[in-house]
Amino acid sequence: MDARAAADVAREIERAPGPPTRQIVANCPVKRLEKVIGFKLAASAAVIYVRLRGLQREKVLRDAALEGGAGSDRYFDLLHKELDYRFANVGFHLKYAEALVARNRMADAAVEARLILVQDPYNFNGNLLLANSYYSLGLLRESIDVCDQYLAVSGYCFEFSELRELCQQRMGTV
Amino acid sequence: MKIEAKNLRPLPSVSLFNRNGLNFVGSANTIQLLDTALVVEGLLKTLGLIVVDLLFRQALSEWTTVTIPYSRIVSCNYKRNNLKIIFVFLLTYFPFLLVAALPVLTDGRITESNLGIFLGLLLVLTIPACIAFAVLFFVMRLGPRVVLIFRRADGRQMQVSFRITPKSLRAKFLERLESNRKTATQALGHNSRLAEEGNHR
Repeated sequence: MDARAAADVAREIERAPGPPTRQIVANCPVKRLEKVIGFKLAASAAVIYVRLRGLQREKVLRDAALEGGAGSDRYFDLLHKELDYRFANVGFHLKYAEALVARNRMADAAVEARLILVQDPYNFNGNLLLANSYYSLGLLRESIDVCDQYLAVSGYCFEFSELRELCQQRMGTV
Repeated sequence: MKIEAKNLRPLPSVSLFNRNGLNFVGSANTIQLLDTALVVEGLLKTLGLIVVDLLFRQALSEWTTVTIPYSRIVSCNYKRNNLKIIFVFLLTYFPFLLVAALPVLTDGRITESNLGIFLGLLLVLTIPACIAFAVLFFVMRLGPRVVLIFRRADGRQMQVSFRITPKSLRAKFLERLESNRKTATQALGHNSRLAEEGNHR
């Protein structure tokens, strides 16, 4: 078909009563197929993205384990960098807070522990870390409050009872 | 006791529109029954989009941990969901039944000929009705499940649903959970008695 004939056909299509050209193109089977393929590609991309994230998480944990000492700068930086990306991951957050304790940065550790408790309020390690950080900072009343709150829901946690007694002894109330 | 990912399938809580459900997704979730609490670890859906959810659920989720002390658990039961399954089946079957009944409804009276058409149509339409029900069954995940209801720190009731296979493991899990809950309740009672005695002194 030459150019002139093609132009005639296009003119005829425009003149003909019925759906406009845009609608015809949208209803074309090839275009529909493209849409389906695009949809499946998006779904596949999502699956790959999720798997990648999972594998990256495992890799970071392995790398952190390979670093050996929890006090090393590389270990600390690794956790700090990952935490910006995986903010909801309580496990990473706890490791980071413990690394802060290992560096004797108790105030920062208390802040991180409080952030962990926003995510997971009844986390045993998070609560214990917060209570211990308060104790180390000399915030005994706050430490007792954390212990009391946890003992109110898990009455048999001796770690909290002992820390509570320590705080009371230091305050001179027992 | 730890329920590994291969034995655990998270299920949507009650319905797709339920706001009180913690919806874990994917096949890498685990549940641990510790001495202090029940810990669920996995991909928690953080963003809910009605249709997009079906395909991109895991991409909209974050890996996290939820700790539930035994004293905060309101109930944990195994539910077969038979009534719900029957209700959804009837709901799916109704439009097909209506289409099959059209000849009878339009004639106004039941004759031998339209009753034959009705029964024939009903037989033919049963297949698409069953297919539609099967699709709904798997999309909405209507099957039997363990439903765990607990109170959050702010007092709001939340729900987690999951399926544990095999049956023996599920029975062991429920038994262990119940015994831990009893121990937790006793310990709390003991603690409150001690606190009262301390106050009296």
